[in-house]
Amino acid sequence: MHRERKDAPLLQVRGLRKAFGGVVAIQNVDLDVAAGSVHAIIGPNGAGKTTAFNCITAFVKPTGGRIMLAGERIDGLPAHVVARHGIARTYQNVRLFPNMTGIENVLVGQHRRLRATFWEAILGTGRFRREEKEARERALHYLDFVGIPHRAQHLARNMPYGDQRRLEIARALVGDPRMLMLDEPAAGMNPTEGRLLVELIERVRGELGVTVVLIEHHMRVVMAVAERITVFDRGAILTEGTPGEIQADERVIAAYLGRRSGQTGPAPEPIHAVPAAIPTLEARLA
Amino acid sequence: MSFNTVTSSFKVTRRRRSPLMEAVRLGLIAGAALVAFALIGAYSAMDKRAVIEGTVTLSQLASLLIVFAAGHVAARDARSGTSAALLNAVVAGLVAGACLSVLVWLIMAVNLRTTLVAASPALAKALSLGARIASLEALAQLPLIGAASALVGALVGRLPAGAGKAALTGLAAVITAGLFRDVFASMLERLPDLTGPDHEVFGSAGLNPGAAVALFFLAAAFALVRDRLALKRGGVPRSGLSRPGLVLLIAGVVLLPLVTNDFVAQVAMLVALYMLMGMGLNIELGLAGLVDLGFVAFFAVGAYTVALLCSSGPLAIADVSFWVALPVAIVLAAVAGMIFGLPVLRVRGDYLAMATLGLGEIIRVLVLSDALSPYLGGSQGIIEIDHPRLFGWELKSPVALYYLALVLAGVVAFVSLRLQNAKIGRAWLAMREDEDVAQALGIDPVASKLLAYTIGAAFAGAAGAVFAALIGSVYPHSFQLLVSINVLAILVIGGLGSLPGVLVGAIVLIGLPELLREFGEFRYLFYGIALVAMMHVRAEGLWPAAYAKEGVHAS
Repeated sequence: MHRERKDAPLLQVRGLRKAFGGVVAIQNVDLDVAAGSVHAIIGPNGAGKTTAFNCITAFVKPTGGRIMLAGERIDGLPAHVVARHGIARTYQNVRLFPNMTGIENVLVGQHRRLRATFWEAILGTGRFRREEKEARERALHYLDFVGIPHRAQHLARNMPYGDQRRLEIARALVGDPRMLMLDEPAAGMNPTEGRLLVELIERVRGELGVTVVLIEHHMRVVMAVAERITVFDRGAILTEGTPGEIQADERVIAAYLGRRSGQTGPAPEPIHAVPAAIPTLEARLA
Repeated sequence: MSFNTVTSSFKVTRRRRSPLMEAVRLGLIAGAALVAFALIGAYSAMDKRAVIEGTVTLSQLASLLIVFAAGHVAARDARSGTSAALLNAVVAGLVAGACLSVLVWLIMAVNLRTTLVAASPALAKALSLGARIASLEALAQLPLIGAASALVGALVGRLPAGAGKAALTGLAAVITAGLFRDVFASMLERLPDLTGPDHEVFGSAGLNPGAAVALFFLAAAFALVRDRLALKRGGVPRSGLSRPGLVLLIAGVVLLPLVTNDFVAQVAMLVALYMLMGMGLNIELGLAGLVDLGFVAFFAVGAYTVALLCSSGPLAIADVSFWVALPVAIVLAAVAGMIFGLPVLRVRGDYLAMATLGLGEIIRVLVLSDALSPYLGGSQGIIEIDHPRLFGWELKSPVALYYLALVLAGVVAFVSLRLQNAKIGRAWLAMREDEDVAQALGIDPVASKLLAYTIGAAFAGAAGAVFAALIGSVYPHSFQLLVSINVLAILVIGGLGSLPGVLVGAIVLIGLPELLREFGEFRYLFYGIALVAMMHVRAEGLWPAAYAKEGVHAS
């Protein structure tokens, strides 16, 4: 496990910009994620949260800016090299390997940990066997860690949605990442599942020492786990702060309600009291 | 009338189509299939082969089966009682038979031969089944036979599940024995003659009628007993092949040439060669998801390497033993795979198919080119390739070469299995499923694709080496695009990513047509039909990989 010195920023993003043709998706994005923290990114749909994720994990090539992980520049590297630097992620629409079983999905997540060569695999050497055995045990351990030990032999496509989300997290964690990036992990979850997710994220940080960055619309989840929150709006960072500061910030509420600050009207209420802003979330968690 | 009314009234009429209309529709579909079967000339060609001696020919059997299936479906679709279902089947059979009658009448009344070559009086005679050509009797008997066949199909469908399955098993046994008379008869010849010459199972052309009846009941009884036993053990009677089925299949494959003649051994040898190539392409396409239409190129590299190293002809550059040339051929094919893979593998999906298609042709054209023909013989090829020798014993009989190919196939299967269950195999599967996600997990896409391509090419090279030793000569025309397509079809029919699937696919697509020489020119037509039907009925293949995976744990 990589236990980083607390407060030293593990991830540093400076002036990140991404344009798709003439459309600027994000610009001037600065982001510091402290090692060992849980950092949430929130914002209305289309604010550029996932694009920022995709730039950091090299899914798309940023148009400008710098991305550094533990002081090393990682922008411009291919995705598999970025992954080897210790960034693992999940996806907004679960992206498992649907025709592989639960344990196989998690075994793929260990790809960069395994050392046995091609020839050792063909000959079935002792090292290869030991490593495979260990890898399987480790995979089962992580399936257990996320709470789906019984899904090892099920095809991913046949699993219920909630288990698919957990499997995706297990697959990301098993490769010993320094930073886990979760893209809307609570989407489509009911209140109970949301609470279990909060627990899981806390254990990821506490037991595994992995820094967590998450995009999330479920405010209850965000407020429960995040130490810092960055708010995106219209492709740029609106503000950043602790959950308490963000809840009290009028600009954040205005962004969610589609109003600009300075506009006249009734004083906005704190965000957790505005069901209209995030109806699915508040209605479910109320 | 508004548009909405029109569409809704259309929907109502569709929904209310009576079972009778449905039966007529099925009959027409079956009839159209029969007419097409006759008009492409397949009927006449297959009429020469008897399945049951003096009673049923291959083309009659095929026709009966088409109507049988129509009757089966007609009875299954009916929501009404048994008698109505049987009536529907009879109607479908009558209609299908009538379509053929119309064809016979048309052939005799109008001269269709200017456009439809196969619509000859000979065809009309064959379809008249011994009655005076196109007489009323001849025209009337076709619908009646159709109705009878459809009725049997319906009855089999209406039987209790166990009995229906038993009947189908019996039927399948008779058809298999009749079709592959050559194989079985040559096997029986090796056995001591217990029954005496008067009670031969096989006549000179097909099964004896008596033997056919006996075989039907034997196979049906076997199916019944097997299901009973399975039920007693608390299991569900399963269809399809199971693990013991696989063991039996492999045992059969190993022992087959010993108990049959050289012709069957030669066919088995071809099946083994295609299995080798199939397992190579299985790594590329089945595991890593790389569509490769130029696979034959590596087959050619392997074959030409052995040709150049082992020939005693003028073009030989060395005269070494096959056992030295084989590894060289494998390595050279792998190197060719790597060199060609580098530029090609950066493109994805459909573009990859196009790029590899070009690659496969390049090798063939290169061999034919003026620049290389002094070294590779151009269209004259390379001849006089020595047969492999093992401990002073020359491997030149089809049986010996079959075992050579089989041993290689075994090694390749072993390597495939090992790789499939290792880090690299999982990486290939992951790449096939979702390349972006695989890469985000730290898998280098180009490196792992290149490895898949290289290994696939190496396996194809091994197949090419054996091919050269088998034929004793190599010519560029042996390395056509069709070889790549054949291998691809084997994988699709057998099930992508499944090793037993490769075996089943090679037997079905290479072995069966070779044994049924009557198929001849219709071979690719049936390929096409089989592929389309597979995509509709069982897109995952005859022996899919996922079935094997979950099947083990489900029970």
